[in-house]
Amino acid sequence: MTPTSPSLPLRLAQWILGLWVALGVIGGVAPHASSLLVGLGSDLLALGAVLVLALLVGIPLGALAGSGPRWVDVTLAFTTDWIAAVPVVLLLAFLRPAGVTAAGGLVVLGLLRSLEVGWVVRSALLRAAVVDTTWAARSLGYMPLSVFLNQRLPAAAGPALAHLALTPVWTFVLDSVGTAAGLGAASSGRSLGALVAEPQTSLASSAVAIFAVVSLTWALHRLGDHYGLRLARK
Amino acid sequence: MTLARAGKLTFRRVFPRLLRLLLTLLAVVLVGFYGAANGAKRPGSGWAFKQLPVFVNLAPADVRERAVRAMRTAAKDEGPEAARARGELLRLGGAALPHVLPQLDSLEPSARGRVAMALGPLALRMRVAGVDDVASPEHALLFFGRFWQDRSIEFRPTTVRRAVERLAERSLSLRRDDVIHADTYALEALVAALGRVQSPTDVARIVRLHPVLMHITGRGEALAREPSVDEAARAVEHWQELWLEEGADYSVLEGPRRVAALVTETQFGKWLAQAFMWKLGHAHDGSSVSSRVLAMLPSSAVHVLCLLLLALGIAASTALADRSQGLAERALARVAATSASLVASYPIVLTLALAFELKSGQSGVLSLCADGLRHGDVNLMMGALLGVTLLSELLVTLPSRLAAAGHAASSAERDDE
Repeated sequence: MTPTSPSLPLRLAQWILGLWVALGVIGGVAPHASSLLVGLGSDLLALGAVLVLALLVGIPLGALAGSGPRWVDVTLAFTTDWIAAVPVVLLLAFLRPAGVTAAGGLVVLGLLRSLEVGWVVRSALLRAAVVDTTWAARSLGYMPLSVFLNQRLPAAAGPALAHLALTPVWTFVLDSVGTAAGLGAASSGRSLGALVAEPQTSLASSAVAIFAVVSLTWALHRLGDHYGLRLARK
Repeated sequence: MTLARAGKLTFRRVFPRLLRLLLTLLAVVLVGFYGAANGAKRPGSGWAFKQLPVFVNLAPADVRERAVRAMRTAAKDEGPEAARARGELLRLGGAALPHVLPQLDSLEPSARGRVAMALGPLALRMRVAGVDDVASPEHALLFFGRFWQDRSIEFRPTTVRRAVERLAERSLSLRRDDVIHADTYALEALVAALGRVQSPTDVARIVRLHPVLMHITGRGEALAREPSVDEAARAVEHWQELWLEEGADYSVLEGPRRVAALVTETQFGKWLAQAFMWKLGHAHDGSSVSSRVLAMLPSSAVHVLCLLLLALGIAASTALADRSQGLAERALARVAATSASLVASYPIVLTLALAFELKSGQSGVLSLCADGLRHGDVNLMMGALLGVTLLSELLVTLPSRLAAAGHAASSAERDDE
């Protein structure tokens, strides 16, 4: 495989992402779009917001916790403990009566995802810390930035990207379980997850929605594997 | 190196973990209760304390404030508000008298008469007046003036407590009347004197106190001629519930009690009191929350464990797709990487377990929690949430922390070398 001729799975992943974006935009702007298209648009918006926050907040947070001051690690561990004690659906249902707007809800979702991504990055960094070169640098009493960037961060990129790629399934599960439990969807009542959980939705629509979410997750995973890891190695 | 060896329990190692567990529990309970209290705002939730602030009550109302307010409103001419205030004065009963009667003189004569007339039925309930004594405003005013001159000395906590103790020991009509004369002023001492019901002696005490409580409050159901220990215990619980709900209406909040009321006279304070007194309290349907949660905890643990094992199994099986050497090592590496993801994604694992419980109809502590939140059943939701927290600590947090401690210990050993 050469960079100029992408493999078939990679090209398929690009097509899936492109199709999702196109259909999502149509679902978001078209006035009388079908509920499936509206769901695609809603999920696309939620995915964008959550991924941006998870990348901007989660990865630096995890990097700091895995190799920075100890108090950051302790704080992240405590917050993860705390969040882990409550199902996200219930946590969102607790916070909703505080008058969180739709945008605020997406920010909360993004921050929750950031904590998860931060924990994954932190764990990967700690695992990478046992690599000889890193130990050698540490045993000399300092942590050269180049060792961190060349050895430890690329080691964390794989697990982090794999975790981030699961975000469509994550939002879908939260939306569908929240709706099914009568607690309200996590991102939006018009999302694909909410659509699938509603009893009047046909089996075909549900199957299409699930297929769309799974295929996007696969595509993100594939793209992350290809571009993300290449970028990290550079 | 002063670090303890891996696996050895030392105070230095256990204390921070215990502290973290307590802080986690506190954070979960506070956020959970905020959600539960908001869920209980909906009509028909059955949460008796929804009129109180959630966490802090900066202005807790006591009997003095309520009685004076009711007296001033009852002093007005006829109207629905005045009628309501008269009802309130009757409900507050004898506990309101030390705050109302000394202030009667501050009202104008006609208003004074109206308040005295409003207190007439109370004097009859207290068995201190005949119908003729309170038949007209003038008579009622005269009667209450004399009554307070003669008997204000009896409206002291120690006097009333002694009268209640004597009644609890032996029921004589004179002793019963002493307590009835104090009316709701004796309510706190009466509820405190009920105590725990464990033996026939306790049942006999409840049999003596229960009718007096019924007479004073106009609530409750008569006990059987020879009640069992369980029946007596249920009656005690009923009165304790009443005191928890309305206790502040019959007592004066001052000094340390007023400071404590900042927290105790809140929804959270009331829930905490219920949780301690009755092991997490009762759900809407009357069932015991603690027994329901404990019964459902194992099934939820199985659901969560199955999901975790499934995820790890899938992660291990992906190693088969890779055709390079060292299948076992690759599978182990993937399981290790997925474990970190699973710890981070544990809330979503819980969410999936909740989905399974909802879809399969197999009740678990997670679906119980969602049910409680949906129906605004605060006790059920909080009890189930504590169960979920326990589950999380046992299944994920504690093992992951132990693994981290082992990792830290091996790092420390390597440092030593």
